[in-house]
Amino acid sequence: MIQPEGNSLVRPGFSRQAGARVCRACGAIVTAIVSFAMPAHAQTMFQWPDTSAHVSHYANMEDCLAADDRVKRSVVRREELTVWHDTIPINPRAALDPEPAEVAKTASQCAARFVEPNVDIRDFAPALTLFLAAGRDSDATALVARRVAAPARNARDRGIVVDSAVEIYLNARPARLDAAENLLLHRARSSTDRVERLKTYATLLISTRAAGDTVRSRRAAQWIVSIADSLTLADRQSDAFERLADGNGGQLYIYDALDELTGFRTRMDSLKKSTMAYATLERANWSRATGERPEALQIPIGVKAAPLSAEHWYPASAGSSPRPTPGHPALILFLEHTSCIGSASTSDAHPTAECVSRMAELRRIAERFPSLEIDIVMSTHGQFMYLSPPSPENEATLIRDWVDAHHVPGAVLGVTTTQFWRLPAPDDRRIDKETPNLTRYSFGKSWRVGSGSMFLVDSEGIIADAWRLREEELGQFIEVLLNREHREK
Amino acid sequence: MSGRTDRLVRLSDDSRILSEQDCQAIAKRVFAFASGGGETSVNLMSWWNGELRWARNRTTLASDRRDIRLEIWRDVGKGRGNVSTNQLDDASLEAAVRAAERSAVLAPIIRRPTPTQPPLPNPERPKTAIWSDATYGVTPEARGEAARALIGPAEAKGMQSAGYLEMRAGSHARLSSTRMGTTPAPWDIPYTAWTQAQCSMTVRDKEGTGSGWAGLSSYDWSHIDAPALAARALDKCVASQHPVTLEPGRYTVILEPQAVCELIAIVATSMYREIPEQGQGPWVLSYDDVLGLWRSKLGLKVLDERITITHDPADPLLGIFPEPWMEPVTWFDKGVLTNLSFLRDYALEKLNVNAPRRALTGYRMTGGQTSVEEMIGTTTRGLLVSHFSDIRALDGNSLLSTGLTRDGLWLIEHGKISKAVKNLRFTESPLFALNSIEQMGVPVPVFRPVKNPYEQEAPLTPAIVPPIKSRDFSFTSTIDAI
Repeated sequence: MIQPEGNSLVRPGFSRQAGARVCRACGAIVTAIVSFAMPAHAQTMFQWPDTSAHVSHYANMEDCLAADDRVKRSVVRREELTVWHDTIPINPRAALDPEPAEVAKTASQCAARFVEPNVDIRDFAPALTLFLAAGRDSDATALVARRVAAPARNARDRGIVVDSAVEIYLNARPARLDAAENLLLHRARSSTDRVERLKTYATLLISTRAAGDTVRSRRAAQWIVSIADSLTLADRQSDAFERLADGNGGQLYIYDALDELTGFRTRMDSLKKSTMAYATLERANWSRATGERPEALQIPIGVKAAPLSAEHWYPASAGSSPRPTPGHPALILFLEHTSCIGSASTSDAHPTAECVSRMAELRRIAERFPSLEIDIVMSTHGQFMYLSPPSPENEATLIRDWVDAHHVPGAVLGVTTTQFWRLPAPDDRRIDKETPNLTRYSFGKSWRVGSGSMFLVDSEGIIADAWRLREEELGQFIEVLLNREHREK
Repeated sequence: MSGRTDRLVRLSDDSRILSEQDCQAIAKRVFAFASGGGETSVNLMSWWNGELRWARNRTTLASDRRDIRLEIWRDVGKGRGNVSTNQLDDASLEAAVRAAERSAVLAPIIRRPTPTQPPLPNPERPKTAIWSDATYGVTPEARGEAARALIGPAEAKGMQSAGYLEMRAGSHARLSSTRMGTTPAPWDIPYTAWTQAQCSMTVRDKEGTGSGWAGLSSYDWSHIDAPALAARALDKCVASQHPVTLEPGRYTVILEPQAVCELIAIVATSMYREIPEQGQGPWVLSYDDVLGLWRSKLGLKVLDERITITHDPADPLLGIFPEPWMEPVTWFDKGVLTNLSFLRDYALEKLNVNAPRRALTGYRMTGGQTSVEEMIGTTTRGLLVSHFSDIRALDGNSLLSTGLTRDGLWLIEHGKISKAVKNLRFTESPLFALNSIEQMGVPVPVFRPVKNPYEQEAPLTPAIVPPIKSRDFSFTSTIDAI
């Protein structure tokens, strides 16, 4: 049928079994000879080629940025082949790291032909990005000044220009915090709208904290608190205020700023004294930020941790005593395998980066604090990856295997069988009922527990902190709680 | 080294697509060239396309083409690279494998290994009737003879004809080096070969006042009665000459099966669960405030109770391309919406079922026993529609659509066709038409070939539909084109 020239697909009269035996024997001999006689070609076959961009024929800013982006992506890709970033602790000062040398070199070479005073003002955004990538900060400053000074239709348009410049400054590597702060401050001080100024300072607080610059973030927090003190009731009830913080309201910015001003060390000092002392401090900040009573704090700090329930415990002995165990600090992690594992439609679902990162973080914590109790809380949903398990027990076993594969030493897993009902046929959709653990750990508050939520419980069974814990902070919280336990004993 | 042209695969006339043995042999050769470990998979497609097109009674195109597409996927380290070729000699295959390995490193698809991997489900694929020796055996000479028989009667009557004859065959297999001879994974494709034939013809008079069309498609050429189609197109042309202009408005319409199929095509595109459950489309019922979700019209009567639309992969007249987890589905049962399609992750998450519901492609619609002649005989005033063209949706929620009548539109008065009418634009929802049915005829296969002839993987989408008589169908303007 198909006759590729010079090759026959199946030789006539060639018995398959006999052929296979001969081939296997020949294969073994050839492999043996090759392994002794030749270097392993597979080890040297894939040499990374020269991917540097030849920028001489790039005539405009967009071409230069595209070339620079290509170089950046090839660097990232090369790194991804050997490093899973989501299993490594987050570097809080990553934003202040410079671009890789080849990226900066490409930008610098390509940008060499563009002289700042000759740059068309309409090319402001790409030009600013390119100048920053090339390390020409003085040209960038001059360009921004020229653009801001250019006539604008109204204040809103001018605000948009500043927003763009700030975003470019913050997204540049290293982030240009000085320049961004100057622009934001200029904007805040020239505005009479207090809510707008609050938003501007919050932008500064969030971006400087993300870059690990605590001096600037404390300064921004101070400005936020000052503005907050001057807000009128009308300001706090305005739509603009309600829309802040992704629709959660500007009071979150104020609470955040108060926490920043209180300082991590002060917060830890109060936690060292007692969990309730720490809770009082946090509740006071919440009350000051929102005007609500202190107990209305949405984060359940200082609340008694409810006992966990589960139909399936791994190891099984864990279910014989209450969890979290009284008298021991414990970390409770709520996880949902349905949100951890990616889409099942491809039949080879993969865990999401966020989930991998959470489990890697948990593993590091468990290794660092072996005496800390770790309780992972999960529930059944009638599916697992690309399977529909026949029973909750079967699903719980699959969940256990999945958790075990992340090697978190000493972790206890509790799997709850989720009760559900179905919409009448032919709709048949499954409607899950809330599990008792989720109900108990929502504490009647409007913020609900989700996959990835953490609760840190002290030895008296009081929640010391919840939800917002980052690894670095979390480690210090746990250390304080374990030291307290040690002292008490 | 031999010249480039020497590497091309020779395909003999009697074997125009790859056989199962060919596919396995090629796959094994590819797998043997892979080095450095990791999975290698191949996606092998071969196709043959014999066609003949004519216009003004003269052939404008007659071709007989075939090609192969081999896609090679190589997993190297954390990357996956791919390359495609149609050259199957050893040197070319090895070069392709090396290229796939290079691309795995240069443009890797970074995939995190899954920490735990339960055994994969093993889906069943239905056995469907999609292969016909009658189609595969049609030679270029036979196509020429068939075209001559189609053109002859029209030419003899002094008419101009144009048409298209096509026979196609294809094969597809996706094989993996890690699963050769073992249970295939859901994304593997066992060797599948298919055929498709289509014949369509338009006849016009030389003055350009009358036009008639007829067409049919099937996987089996022996199911297509080409001379009958030619006679039908010619009759329609003669009968549609010298049309009069009719005022647009609401008319009782008798829609021939082809027109019904074209009108309800838009319904098939809306048959997805996600659409109503996001609060959109024609099948959304209302928002349930208590549960916080959108309810659909599943289980509710939405069409005339005489309508049942089903989809059975084993139906020998339908010829549906076999896919994993494909089952018989009743979409509408006596007018009640009983099924909407969904993806496998939806099925797992919302229904805890490990199988998708495949989209409504090929289908069979129930009808009645009334002939078109009887429908005409019982109509006081109405229009007989041959078929539609240029249909497009105007509103996704009501499925309000607009389009043109084509190739034959006649006014019916007092139980008889009284005159040919100039074409009209309709603006109507197929749901309205399917809820205003007066009579239905015997369902028959219609012309519904794969839309893109070069899309070799496209599933076959045949349909069997009845003629219907529906009242108050809305026409909104006249069209000069015949």
